[in-house]
Amino acid sequence: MGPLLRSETHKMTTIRAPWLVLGAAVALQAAASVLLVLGGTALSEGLRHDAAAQRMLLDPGDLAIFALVLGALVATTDHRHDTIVPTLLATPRRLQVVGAKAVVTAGLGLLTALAVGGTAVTLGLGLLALDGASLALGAGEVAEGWARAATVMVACALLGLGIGALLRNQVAAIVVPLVALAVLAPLAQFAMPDAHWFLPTGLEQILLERQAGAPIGAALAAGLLAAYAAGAVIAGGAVMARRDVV
Amino acid sequence: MPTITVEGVTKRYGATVAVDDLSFTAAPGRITGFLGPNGAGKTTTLGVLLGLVRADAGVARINGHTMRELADPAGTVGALLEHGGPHPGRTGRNHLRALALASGRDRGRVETVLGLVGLTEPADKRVAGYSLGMRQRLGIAAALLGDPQVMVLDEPANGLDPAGMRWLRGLLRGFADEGGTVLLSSHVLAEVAQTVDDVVVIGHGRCLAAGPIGELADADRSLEDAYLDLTADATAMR
Repeated sequence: MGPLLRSETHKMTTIRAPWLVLGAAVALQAAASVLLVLGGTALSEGLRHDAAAQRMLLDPGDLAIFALVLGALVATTDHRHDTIVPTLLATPRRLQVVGAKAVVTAGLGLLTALAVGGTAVTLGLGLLALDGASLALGAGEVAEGWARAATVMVACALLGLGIGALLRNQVAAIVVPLVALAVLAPLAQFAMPDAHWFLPTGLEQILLERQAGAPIGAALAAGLLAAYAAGAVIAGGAVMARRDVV
Repeated sequence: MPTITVEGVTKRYGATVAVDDLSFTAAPGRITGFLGPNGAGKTTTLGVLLGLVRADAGVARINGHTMRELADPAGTVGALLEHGGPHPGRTGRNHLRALALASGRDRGRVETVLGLVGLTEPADKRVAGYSLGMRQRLGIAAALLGDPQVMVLDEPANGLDPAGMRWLRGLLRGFADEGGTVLLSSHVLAEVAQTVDDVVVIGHGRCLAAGPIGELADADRSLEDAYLDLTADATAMR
């Protein structure tokens, strides 16, 4: 698995798209942090002394969609450019390829969380210091917020990989989850207020503590989200293992 | 003993039979031309041989093993297919490096094959800026990366200029003379006639003729004439 992991990592680090996605996530996080502090809102005022408001600033934003797109890129770039053929010629055992892609994808999810979280904390602390505010949060609380976001991003990246492996088409693998997020998730929340918590978007909300009234705790939500991710990867891998590629 | 053995391979796509109970062999030390009209089933057959397509019946083996059974796939078979190539945004060197990493080959081997195909100088340019001929050379470099015993090439002369075609002919002849097995699919019959030792001609997924090229073509009858006679039915029905 080692050589294949290095190969898949090399493939993703030697093209532009993953770096652009990661850069966009960091830029969005930076913009959100700056706007939060300079926005002139009640929340901005609260940042000076309120732990909950400071947590909003220092926790990574809800940017899991970027991790999902990265996962979709890992799965579909080979198909989009037909590089799946030389990949499978070098490694005909396809489940090994899927396994390596899953590990690389999880790493990209973690990298996204590190980049976004690092941006949030660095900018947040810097902006608070400039404003003369004192930190009302402990390091443990900041770390917990990052860990929750990292769990969501790793799971979403793997969901993206599974969806990409199932659909193969890169545009579809990115657009379908975006539509689900923008249209289906709000509809589900409206139509099934109790059940929507158990969808990936609901579990994400629980983990990121974005909504009150969750029926389950963070640990169970993390487990269920991991199960969704594992299911998507297994389904995508099973399809990829059987599919003709020329 | 043949290195490539295709035994009773059948592949259907819905109601269409792409390959129909096809059997042939390719021997070491020889270049075997794999010929047939468009849609005859050549690419599908090569896909089955290389483990990229699942056969509905039959089996294709290299050195007695299916592709997925090979302990060192890259060291056993190198392939260049029309479908499949480098990412346009990646440099030639990085494309080969990714494949080398997957097959456990080192950077030195990447530089060796880049030199063999004459791409050392532009290796750090993105593939999007390569000509078709340069892409073919990069594909051939990828096929050679594992120092394989068998080469399977689908239209390798595409985009090559006359000097490139002569270079390719020399490369394949040298490979076969050292005991390697070459299975070569091409539409350029004049080039095939100069290159191959044996031919397998297929039409509608079935084997129409197989054997040494001398049995099919001679001074009185060119390979092109023999090929067109054999495939007249297959071509007429298209």
